[in-house]
Parts: sequence; structure tokens; C-alpha cells
Amino acid sequence: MSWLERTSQRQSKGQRARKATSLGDLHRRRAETQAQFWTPSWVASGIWASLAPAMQKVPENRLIKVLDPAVGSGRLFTPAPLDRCSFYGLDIDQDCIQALSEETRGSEASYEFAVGAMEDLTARNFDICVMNPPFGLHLAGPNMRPYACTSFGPFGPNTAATSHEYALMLALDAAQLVAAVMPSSADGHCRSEERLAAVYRLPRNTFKAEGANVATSVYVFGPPGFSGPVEEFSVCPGEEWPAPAVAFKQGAGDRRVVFRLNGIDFSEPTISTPVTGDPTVRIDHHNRRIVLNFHCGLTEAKVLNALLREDVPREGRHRYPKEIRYRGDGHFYLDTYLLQEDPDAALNAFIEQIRQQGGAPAVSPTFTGYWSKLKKRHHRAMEPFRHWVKMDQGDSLVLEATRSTLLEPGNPRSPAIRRGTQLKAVPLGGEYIVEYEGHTVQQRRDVLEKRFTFIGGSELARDKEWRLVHPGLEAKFPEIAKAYRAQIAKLGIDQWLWPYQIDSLVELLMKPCGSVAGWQQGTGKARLAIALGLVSGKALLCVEPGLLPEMRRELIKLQIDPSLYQVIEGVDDTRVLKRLNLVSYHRLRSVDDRDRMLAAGLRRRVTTVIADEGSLLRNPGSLQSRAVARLSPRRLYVLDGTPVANYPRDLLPIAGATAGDGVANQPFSLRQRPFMSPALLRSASFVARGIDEFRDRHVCIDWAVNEFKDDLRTGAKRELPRINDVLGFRDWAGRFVQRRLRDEPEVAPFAGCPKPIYEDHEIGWDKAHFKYYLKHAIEFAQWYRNHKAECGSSGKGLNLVAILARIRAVMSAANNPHAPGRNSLGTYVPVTSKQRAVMERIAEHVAAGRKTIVYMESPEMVRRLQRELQENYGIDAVPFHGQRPIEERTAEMDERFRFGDCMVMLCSWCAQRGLNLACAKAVVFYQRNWSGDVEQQAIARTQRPDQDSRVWVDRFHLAGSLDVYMKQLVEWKVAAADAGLDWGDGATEDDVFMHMDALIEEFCEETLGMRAREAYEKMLAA
Amino acid sequence: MGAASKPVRVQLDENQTQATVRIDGISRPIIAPVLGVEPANTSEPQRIYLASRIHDGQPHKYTGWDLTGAVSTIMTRLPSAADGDQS
Repeated sequence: MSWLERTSQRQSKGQRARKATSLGDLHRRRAETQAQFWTPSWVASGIWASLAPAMQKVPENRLIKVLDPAVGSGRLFTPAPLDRCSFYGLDIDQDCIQALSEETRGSEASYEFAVGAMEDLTARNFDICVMNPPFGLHLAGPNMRPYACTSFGPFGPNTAATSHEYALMLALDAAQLVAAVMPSSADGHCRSEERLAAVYRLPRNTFKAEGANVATSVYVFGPPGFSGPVEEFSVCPGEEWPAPAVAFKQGAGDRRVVFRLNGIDFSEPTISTPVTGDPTVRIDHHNRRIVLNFHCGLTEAKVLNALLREDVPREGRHRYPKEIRYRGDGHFYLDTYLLQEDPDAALNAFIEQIRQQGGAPAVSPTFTGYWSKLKKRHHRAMEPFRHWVKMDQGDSLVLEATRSTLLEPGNPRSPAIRRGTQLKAVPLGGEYIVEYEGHTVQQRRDVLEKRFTFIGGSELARDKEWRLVHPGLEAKFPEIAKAYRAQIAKLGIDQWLWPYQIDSLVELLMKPCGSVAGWQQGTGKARLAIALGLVSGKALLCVEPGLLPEMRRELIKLQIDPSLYQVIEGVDDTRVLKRLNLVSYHRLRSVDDRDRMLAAGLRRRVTTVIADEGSLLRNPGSLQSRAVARLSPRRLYVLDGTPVANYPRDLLPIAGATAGDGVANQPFSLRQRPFMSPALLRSASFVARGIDEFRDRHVCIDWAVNEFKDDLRTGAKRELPRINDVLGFRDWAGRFVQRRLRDEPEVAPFAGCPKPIYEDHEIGWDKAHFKYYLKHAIEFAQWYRNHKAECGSSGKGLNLVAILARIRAVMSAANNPHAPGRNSLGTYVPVTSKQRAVMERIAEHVAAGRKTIVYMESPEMVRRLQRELQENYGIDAVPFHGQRPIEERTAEMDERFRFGDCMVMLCSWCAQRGLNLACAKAVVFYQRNWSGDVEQQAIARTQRPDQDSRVWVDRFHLAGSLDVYMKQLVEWKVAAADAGLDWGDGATEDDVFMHMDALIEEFCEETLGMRAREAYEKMLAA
Repeated sequence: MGAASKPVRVQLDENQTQATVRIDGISRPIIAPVLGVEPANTSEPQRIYLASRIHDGQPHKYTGWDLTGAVSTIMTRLPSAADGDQS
């Protein structure tokens, strides 16, 4: 019996698995076979016959290195010339490798067989690769190499592929000549490779004996750089295989073969320290990681192997942080010791472990000092800021079931509740503990409202009072606070700050890291920014370009000595820095002739960076965020009235930038770091990436593509603007977000102002405008349905970018029809019903003596309203939009609106932040914005300490248009942010959130249904 | 499926500075520098500390010598190891 003949006679899984009896049964068979079908012997012999001429040209004294990344029973090795080749085989089937190992034991052949998956294989410098890879399996793994066939998978970019396509790319990368059995469906893929030399078409029944009915061919590829005509042959059993015109490249086969699994290289030493017999193990640190230095290689091997133990288990699709490789990796994070009940005891146990392995631990003085400092800082970092919240009055509420239900839906063990049953609920700041028949559940208000009513109506439930939920850092560390107070007094800062501002400033300074000053608008963030800068020694205050004049005005108003501050306008201003340096984000990210950011020149030159309106840092990839990160200050303070700008997850990047990334006090990470927990010290098995843990804990998503799961920013998803585990979210946010609200007891006497009056206006359509709008709506509805059907039939997801671009045209047709953008079907010039209604409302406010700010999307709309107001109502208005230079528009706004007699300011969203416009008594939203924080910020321009009136807020919606969806979305986003930061109950008008696609579906139903019944006739009649 | 059994044999050079390891499934011997050898005593079996990692982390059941370790391989003699395997 010749080489490997016994294993070749093993049955494949394809032969052993039961045949599929139905279409549904195919999946079972696929899972059982794992696409394992042996290559028929005549095909294997044919492949080697085709390669024989090329092999004959290799000198006889050199072994030809042959790879099969899916070796199976070794069928493809069997016909090979044993004395001329060195074989390397990999297979995921342990039984196959065991059988091959047993059969080859004691043989004269040169071989290496390994159990493993091809997605973990690194292979290079082979002469030949022969293979019959599994067809059509979905591969995913963190060690995959980036090829044209790989895609974004569960482990990040380039971590997923189809098995046969990946195998081919791997083979072409690894070997000079490749002979691959491939399905005919991959013909295009194979032919796209320039190295393709020959195609041998196999009979359709080639794999019939294996239980597979698939059309296949053998594709032979030449060496790198090969380019010639593709020879085509049809071959049958018993026929000779013609040889293609391929040959090995000279000298290429002399290189050492690389055949590594999971990056483990047997031939390279991993410990290079010489054996000296000196057992000293020096314990030091690099930032927040423990570093061990060894004097003897044997001690190093004993200690490191004992501490790290073994590889973390890699089964399944668990995605590990990049830094994690061994079970004991957690030993090296100082943060995980900080999280233990007794950090010193845990650290001593670690040192003792070193001793037990024969090491003589020598803790460096630097480490001792750093550890001591770290512990102190950790106590302060973990302490929540002083926090007032408005909570439900009373200790409990009564709920009445509106239908028969389980106490905990989905849990059959929870008690059944009949309709009308009354239960007791204890409020817990947005969540409620409900008890019934000895069982308790904790649920959000919106979840409860789907099945229960709050007895006594919502008035009782929403009757709230202010409570101090955290006394703050000063109560815990009074001595430290005292020192900061003295420093503030010495600088004279207490002369121009209100008491609550001084208290808050002291708390911010006490935190060992940066923080978020999430003070509500109108509570004095500009003064806080100046104070922080002056106390810090050397600070950089970054503001939006449009707000530089505001900040300058504040500095002059406070009579700050001009020698203490400067505005950075260019590189020259950065040569000598002052105590407080103002710079706009735009200037900070600007680049010079050498493509060098201004921020790079300021790197590590300031101790403190204050990012005004800093929620823009939520996008770590933006130029502003990168510029701020480049500064690398010791402390970064983010000042923003709406730190949760859009979705609650927006707070994570800001947390990472201010409080630390993947550390004890901020355990989540945006990068590839692990989630920091006490359990990490015991074992790193199945430890999650910080960002994955945050997503699982706090983000509400129905589904998301891998791109979105990777960074929580890019890629499609279906997300609910809600916070999961809202209590955990508050605990986390309370450590680095200092929240101060205008109405809270300590702030209200200084910064409080009357609450605004909200009024929503639903406006009917003009017939002609409706006809114009319907044309766009129907066009969109039809396009959407066709697009959905096309995507459904091709198995692809919807193109959200295209949907949003086209839906923008529908929105434009409703709100801005005189100047539509791309994808629009013509223009509609007459003034619309909504525009008339808005102008009438403006006129009412003006007549009542109320200065009015009107917000809208586009500068074209600003110009139109300005003209129409002047012509039809004789009302003069100041235009403020992004198409005018900042200095010009700010000067006119100051002169005519803020300090002048003009009663109306018409602006685009660029005027929604930073401006102090207490003179205005009315805010009109001509249209809605997608983000809750944009609208909140816009209203807040009027909510300043010197506001003496209740401000009117009017919001206009066209009946049945997308304005309605935007209203719902904004409400939910604001409620979610409120629940997370201000301990709101997260309740909204609508019990059930309607997703964008559901709303579009309904919109299309209505639009097309309307056309069928009445709208079409109306259009014709109009 | 149970873990497959994989025979391992090792030979040390005279100075005990280099190990020649033969693992089932690989025809060529693996040559690895030796950091130290702990002789067997009543409570502990014989151990060889290598400077390389020569095991793959798969759940093999070894015979002769057990291969463990995170950063480098620790060979621990199993009771069934043939006497002549290691000198």
C-alpha cells in the first residue's frame, strides 16, 4: 500500500451524512458535512500529471514544498512523488489529522500536519498548493488576511469571506503554482486572476459518489507575474491531463517556508533573555500597565507562563480586544487592581505569585509612588459629582393593568396579572420596581405604560420635587476642596462667579482627570471656561469660530487683564503662550504649507484644554476631534449644555477623551481595549471589548451591520433612542458629567428664568402645493418600493444613503419648494400655506412687542422669508446664515437685533449654539431638525439669566408630512438624554417608537392609497 | 469527538542547552533552545523549559510529554514516557 492510501480510503463527512430529504433539510446536511467531500483519485492524479513538467525542472536535490490548506484525508497528496516533495497539510477535522499523523508515523516522507482553520493560517514561500477547499462556507476569524474577497466581518475589517474564494487567495499568496478544485460558480472569480494558466472542466458527476451534485473545474495558476493565454480542457476519468505552460520562478523556492497557525512560529525563540540564575524580577509600570523586567530567561519563562497561563479560548464568534491573548493578561492592568475590594491585597497576591515561581520581586520606587497616587486619584475619579434631580414625589405609586399580562413578559415563571389588577410601583428615577405576589421586576416607565396605567393619572406620577442624589466631591474630600478654594480666591475669580459656579469649579478641579461640564444653557459656561483656564496655569480654550466674539466680549466684561490672555490666529501666536489662549476649532485644525496641523505645534504645551460646545468631539474621526486629541493635554474639559447630542451613545467618545479610555473609572473603550472589570484579574477568557460591552449594556438596537458594531458610528442599524440599563448609565455618567440645571435649588436664584410656552401648529396644504408635493412623494414612494423589491430579490440590504438623499427631496418639496436641491422635480414658486402661517405668527409676536428668532434649514428660505415679510407685512428682519461671513453676520445681528430695534432674526441652524439672546421673547421653528440637541440649543439662546419673560416656542408641521416623524424622533432623543443625565422617566407622547423604515412604509401606503382614492382626482382638479 | 492522542519525544544535547523535539504529525524535528531542566522528584515530574513556543494551543492529548505554556513551552514528563526518549 502506498503513501497515504489508507487514510484516502476514509469516508468523507459528505458520504457519511444522511441525504437531505427536503429543502429545509439542506441546512442540516450542510452543517453535518462542513462541505467535506474528498477529491476523486483520478482528479488528484490528473492534477499531479499536469504539474509534472514544471516539477521536472526543479533540481533533484531540492524538496518541492507542497501545501494543502484543506487536506482532509490527504487524497491530493497521494499521487505526489514522495521523494521529491515536502508536504504541509491543514484541516479543521481533528480525526483526519490524527489519521494522517498515525499513518505517516515512521515514514521517510517530509511532512507537517496541523489541526486548524484556514482563516488562522499564515502560509508563504511554498512551491505548490493543491487544494479542494470547502465550497460556499462563510468564514470569519480575527486572523484572516486582507484580500479582495474579504469583507467587514464580526471581528472587524477584512474578517469575513466565502471559503473557496478565501482559500484561493490564500493559496495564490502562499505558493508559486496553484491547482485548485473550484465550483464553476467561482469561474469569474478565478478568471479575474491574471495568473490563471489553465482550466480543466470536470464532468458534472465528479463528486456524485461523495453525495454532492456540483459543477466543478480544476484551475491551475502560474507563478506571480505570470500572464499568458488561458488553456481550456475538458477531462474525464482515464484520460491524460495535458500540462499547461507554467514553470517555477528561479530561486523562489530557496526561501524558508512559513506555515503558522494563530501567529505561533515554532522556529523563533519567544524568550531571548539569557539564563543567568539571577531571580530578580523588577516590577515597573508604563502608564497604567505593569511591566516586568527579568534578569534570567528561566525565571522569565516560569513567571510569565504562570501568570499568563494559556491562550484565551477562541471558540465561537467572541471578539476579543486586540491586547488580549492569554487568560492571565488581566494581571498587567493596574486598573483591574483598583477595582478589587482590596487593591493592595490583590497586588500583593500578584507579587506573591512571582515569588512562588522562584522570582525575587523588586518593586521599583517609581512604581510604588505611582500606585499610591493612582489609588488616591481613583477614589476621586469614582466619586459622582454633586447632582440635583427632579424625582417623583412619594415612595410608591399604584399601577392598574390595562390588559391581562405577565408581570415580566417573556418569563413564564412570573405571576399572571388579570386586567384591572392594581400593583404597587416604587419609583427609582425613571425606572420602577414593581412587586406582585412576591415577585419583583424593574422596568422603565415607557415599558410599563404599554401594559399599565398610573392610577391618579399622569399628574400624580409626574408631580416631582428636587432631590440631592449625590452630595459631591467636596463633601467627601473637604481638605482638597479647601486648597482649591484658596487658589480661586487668590486669583480673584470668586469676585465674578456665583456661589454655585465656584462650588462646581472646585469639584471639576478636584477630579483627577478631565470632565464634562454639562451645565444647562444660560448657567454660565463661558465664565466657567475662563475660570478653568485662569486656574489651570496654561490653558487652551477652543470655541466655535462664530463664538469667538462672544468669548472676547465676556473677557472684556469681566475686566480680565489683557496680558493674561490672547486669541491664536496663526502659527506666530503659538510661539509664546499666555495663561489663557483662545482658539477656534477651525484654526486649530488648519494646516500649514507642510500639511502640519496647528494643533501639532501646541502638543503637550498646555496643561488644560477646554472644549466649548465640546459635544462635537462625539465623532472621533472628525478633524476637530483629531485636532483636540493631538493637543494631548493633562486634562480636557468638555463644556456643553447638551452633552448627549443625539443618541445616548454619543457620550462614549466624550467620556474616553475626558475621563480616560478603558480605565477603572471609565471602563468602556472606544478603541480596541478590554472592558475594565474586577473579573479581568481572574481570567481574560471571553472578556469583551469596551465598546462591545457598552453597546450590549446601554444601546437599544434591533439589528446592526458589523461596521456599526465596530465603532457605533458607521454603517446601517435600526436603533431606538432609548437607554438600556438606565441606572447603570447614570452611575457611569455621574462620574464624569457635572450636570447643573437652571431650575435646581442652588442655581435657580441666580440663573433661573421662566419656562417657555410650547405650541405646535399643524398646517393644511394649498392644493397646488399639495399637487407639487404629491408628485415628489409618489415618485419617492414608487422608487422606495421598487428599491425594496430589488434589494429583497437580490438579498441585499436597503441603500440608506440613497433613501435619505431622495427623502430629502420630499422634505424640500414640502418646506423649501421654491429652491429645491438635487433629485427634485421642478420648482414651486408661490408662497406656501406653512410659510404664510409662519409669517402670520411672526407678525403676531411683533405686534405683541416680542422679538422673534425664526429657525429654518436653508439660507434660501431665510432670504425668501425676509423678502416676503418686508413686502407683505412691512416687517424688517436680520438674516443670519452660514453663507454670510461670521464677522459680518454677527456685527449686523448685534447692531440691529440684539442691541437694536429690529424685531425679527431669521436664521439657519448655524445660530443654534453659543449666542446669548435674552432679548428674544419668541422662537419659531419653521421646520424641525433631526437632532434633539439642535432644537434644545436653539431654544436655549433665549433662556439666559437675564430673561424676564416666558418665551413662546412655536413649531410648525405640515399635516401628514415627514415633519411628524421628525417631531417623534426628537421627542424620543430628548427623553433618552433626559433619562440618562437628569434622571427623567424617559416618557414620551408616543408609547411605541416608529422606525424610519416603518414610517416610510406607512407614508408610502398613505401616499399611494391617497392617489388611488381621492388625491389623484384632486391633483387633476387643482 | 475526544481529543486526539499525540506522541511527543524529546532529546537533549549534552549540555542540556538544546532540545530536539519530535511531535506526531511533523516529520522534521523541532530544535528549540533550553532554558532549564527540573529533575523529577517525589512530588513533581521532570520539566523542561524551552525558549520557544512549539505547541499550538489546540486541545491535544499528548503522550510521553505534555506541552503547556503561554509564551514558551514547558514540557512535563508524563508517566508513560519511554525511558530512552530523553538523555
